[in-house]
Amino acid sequence: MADGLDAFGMMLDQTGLPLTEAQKSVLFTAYPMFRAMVARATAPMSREAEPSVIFVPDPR
Amino acid sequence: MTELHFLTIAQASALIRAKKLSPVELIEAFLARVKRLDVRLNSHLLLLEEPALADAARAEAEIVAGGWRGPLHGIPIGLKDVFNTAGIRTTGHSALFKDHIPAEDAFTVSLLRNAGAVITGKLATWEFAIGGSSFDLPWPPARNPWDVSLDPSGSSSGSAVAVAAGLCMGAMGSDTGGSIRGPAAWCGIAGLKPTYGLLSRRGILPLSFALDHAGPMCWTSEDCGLMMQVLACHDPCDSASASVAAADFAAGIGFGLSGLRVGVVRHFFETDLLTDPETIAALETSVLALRDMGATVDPVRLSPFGAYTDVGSLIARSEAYAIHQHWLRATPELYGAVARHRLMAGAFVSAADYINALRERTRLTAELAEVMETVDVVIFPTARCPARPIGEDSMASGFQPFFNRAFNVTGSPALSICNGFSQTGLPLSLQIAGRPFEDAIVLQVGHALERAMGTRTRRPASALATAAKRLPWGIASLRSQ
Repeated sequence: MADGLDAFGMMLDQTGLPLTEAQKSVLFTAYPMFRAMVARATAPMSREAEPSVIFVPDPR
Repeated sequence: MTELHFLTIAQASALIRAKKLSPVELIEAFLARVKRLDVRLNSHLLLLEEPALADAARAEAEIVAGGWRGPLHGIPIGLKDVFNTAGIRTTGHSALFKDHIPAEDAFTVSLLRNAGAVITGKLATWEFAIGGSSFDLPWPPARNPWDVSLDPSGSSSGSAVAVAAGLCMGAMGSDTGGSIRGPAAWCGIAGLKPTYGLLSRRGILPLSFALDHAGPMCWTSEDCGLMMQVLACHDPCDSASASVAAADFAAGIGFGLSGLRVGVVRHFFETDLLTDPETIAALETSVLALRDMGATVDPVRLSPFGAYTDVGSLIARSEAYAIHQHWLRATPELYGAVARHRLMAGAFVSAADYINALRERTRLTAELAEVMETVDVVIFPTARCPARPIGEDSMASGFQPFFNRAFNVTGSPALSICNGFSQTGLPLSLQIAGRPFEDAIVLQVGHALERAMGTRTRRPASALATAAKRLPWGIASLRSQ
């Protein structure tokens, strides 16, 4: 992945998680799997396509 | 006569109602069995001996006085330890929550108590319903009663083990990506993930707001129906709770399947994820049984199974990360390694990725609804293979053993039943999914197939007898294997 390590590092920094190098290494092995899932689950859709969860103003 | 601990809820209930079976004697028998066998099976994190005996005595007094409350009155029920219990610790099988004592029962637990059910124990789970069968937690993982060297699957592991081994008659599980149906499949019981919103989630430790379901796990589909009769109740304090007319979940039990239209999602197990031949053979036998009972059976096509996995995983991991973010930052050392890694991975999903996954969920749900206009239920295996060795990390190996996540994504009712046994004597499984709020039809088909396939007469008794002769399984001995 061209942007793999940089993007991964940036994401981890944003989380504020206190990770050891060993824990970062384990997570980095799973990172490509998640990016692949994201790529597959982002089919072209119209801008108006609603997500499955929408706000309900009166939930009761 | 069937031993007390292997009676179904329907059988025991009929005897209790007729005053031929004492709830006190029944509960005493179950408590004694847990104490004798669970040192090897690890299904219970907490045995509620004194409260269960008090509840049984109360139930007995009510029934003797003519106050029978219904089919769960006096019946021993276990709770996955993510269901809050007032004044009783609810741990999520985690060191993080080992001293967590809720003030109130979960809504579903209060419904069970009102129906006279006797809560006998808090049951093992994967840590916070996500961690896997882990050995670095305060309690050991539950073990499969058909062979204690095998994984029962999860995350409702203790619930499935306890029901299969005759340590309780029914149990509550939760299912975000298959956590009721997976362990039901590998332990050979019936497990229903009801329609999303049909059972309240209030008072259950959350994993994913959009995908969490609570549901019953029992030896038979009929018993799941008896539990659903009590559990399906609108909860105004759960924003996802559906306000629908009360269904009769036993209405179709025992009736034929003439005219039923069944779709087989063949591409799931023939091309999407390669599946064990014995599992496929059991499915084909089930298809013949369905036709014999008057159903029509034809193939149907959905999106590839992986599409559901992607969407479900992205939603579940994002929401689980949001729920656990505070503790992951503050006290990460209190999580087991597997749960910690699986939860932290949610940090990789951006807000845009999450929203797009929710949009794709809408598309997949609409696609299924179109297919379900042509059939009443769809079927496919629950598990791709029988139970595998405990300690094998399917995430690390990339092996996904189950066809479960699709129906968390769509919210449809989905039931796993035992539809045969492998040559090595392990349960095989079939999944039956239906249209939203047609859970009763799914249970009707499950019951009919269980009877036709004759799988409900075989219990893991021989494996339990072998287990009872062994030394207790401790964490240290497992690590040395």
